[in-house]
Amino acid sequence: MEIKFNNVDYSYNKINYLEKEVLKNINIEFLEGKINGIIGRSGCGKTTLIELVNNLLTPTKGLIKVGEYIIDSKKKFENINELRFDVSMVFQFPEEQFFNPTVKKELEIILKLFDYKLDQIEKRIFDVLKMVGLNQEYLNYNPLKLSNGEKRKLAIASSLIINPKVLILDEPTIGLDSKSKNDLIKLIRILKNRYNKTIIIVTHDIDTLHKIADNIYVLNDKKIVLQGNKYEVFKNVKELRKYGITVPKIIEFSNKVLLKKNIKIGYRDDINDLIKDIYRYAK
Amino acid sequence: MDIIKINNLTYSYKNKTIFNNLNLNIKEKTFITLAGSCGCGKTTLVKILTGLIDGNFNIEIDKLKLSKENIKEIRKELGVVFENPDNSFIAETVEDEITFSLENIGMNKEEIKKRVSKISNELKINHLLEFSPYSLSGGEKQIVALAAALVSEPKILVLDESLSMLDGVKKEEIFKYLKKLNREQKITIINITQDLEESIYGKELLLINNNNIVLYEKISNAFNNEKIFKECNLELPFMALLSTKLKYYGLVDDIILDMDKMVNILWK
Repeated sequence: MEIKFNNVDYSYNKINYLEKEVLKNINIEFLEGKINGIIGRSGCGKTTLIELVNNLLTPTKGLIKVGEYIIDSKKKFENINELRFDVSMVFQFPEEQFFNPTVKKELEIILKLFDYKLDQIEKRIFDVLKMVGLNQEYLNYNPLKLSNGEKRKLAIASSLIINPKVLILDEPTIGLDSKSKNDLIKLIRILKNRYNKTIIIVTHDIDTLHKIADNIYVLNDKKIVLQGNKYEVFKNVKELRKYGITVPKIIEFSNKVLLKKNIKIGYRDDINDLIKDIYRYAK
Repeated sequence: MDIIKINNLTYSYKNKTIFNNLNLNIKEKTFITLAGSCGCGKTTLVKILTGLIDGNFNIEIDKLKLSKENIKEIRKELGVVFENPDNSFIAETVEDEITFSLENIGMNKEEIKKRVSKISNELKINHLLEFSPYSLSGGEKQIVALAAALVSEPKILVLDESLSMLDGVKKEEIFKYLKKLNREQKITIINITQDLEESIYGKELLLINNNNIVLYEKISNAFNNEKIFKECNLELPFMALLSTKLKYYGLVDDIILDMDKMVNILWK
């Protein structure tokens, strides 16, 4: 699904003296069927940017094209439900989006909200729980009593249950241990490769993002300052530091070898590939 | 000297044992990282220490026995920051949020002003003071919560995943600041986290798994046994993982946590 920003501005409190401009003249296009990462220093407007995509916020200037829908700052947007059927969002703190006593009800209510047929609901819940790696036992659990990793999985399940084309994840790795994090990485890869979803991730967990992302967008002082293929973006170590961002450790290592020893061992996603390079070049 | 002494702590929640005869002493002036997988009881421990969970525990904090009578005294010396700062905010502006605890103990206005300007300079949050804490970004909120805990100058600072939302450069800055605070002001810091990358800034590492302490070591010796970390579902810090793998291939002999040092050893 095409997602394109056209000269978009956003200000909080537009009408009073507390006005705070957060985004200015944003022109970007997210890659369809790929994993798009948004990074930038805390408070730079990353969350605001993604909240514009599913119309939780409406731009104060400009146009956003999401598939067939056009969100125009000048007009009231009429197709909110249809849009959110296609673009689903998982919030930073999953517990803030749970309001039902059991996992089953939590998932059911979303389907009812979107007018799913009753006989399909059970199967859909079954499928989606399997997809995120929670088993049937969880159906009667209280969402708020789950562990952090399980809460995150449930939050993703409740977003996936309506089978959206676009999935937006706000800081998905916060509070996860390494196993849950690896499960999440696998799930996101499956969503991209097998289900062809467009995925947008806002995070400061650069090391995890580097493992999965295709394209990276860097936000600083209201503007997109760098964008493109992740290796192209992470090459700019000094510039990124200025924007509050450190490069992934695995890239930092390659850079250090180049800087100190003038040996080019290349950029890697996986530490095992890096080891092979070191083995080859250090001998 | 030990600033926190936990003796035979047993606690269960709804038939699930969380601690079984846990004995743990934490040295004064240390900077310890406490890690463990989800649900190992890290946050429960913080809640017990701060008196948020009732019970008859044999715990001593700064020479005071943890009890209903002493809890007020103990809380004065114990600054705690939780993961989701929204849950702890009560004031309308960042400044009020930071001064709240000081006004509560009846500190005079001059001193409050001095303290607030000191902490907001050190944490670089001067520009946020007049905003509502709720209007800030996740990372900013966490720094404000940290400021609110540090402003009363506690002897012990407990961070419960409380810097998880900071971006790279800011995180480096804050941890360097905490390290300085620990070194110069002798504050005892207990950092609870799942991100072991943070442990590099500390002096010691403590791992809890299946109700037990499975590792309690100086940071330089903490990463010799990769298996323990796998069992705890924890990812080694990048440099520790790299060292472990390079050790396997015989390219280095030890765990090396400093990247410059590693590059120099590999390419002499």
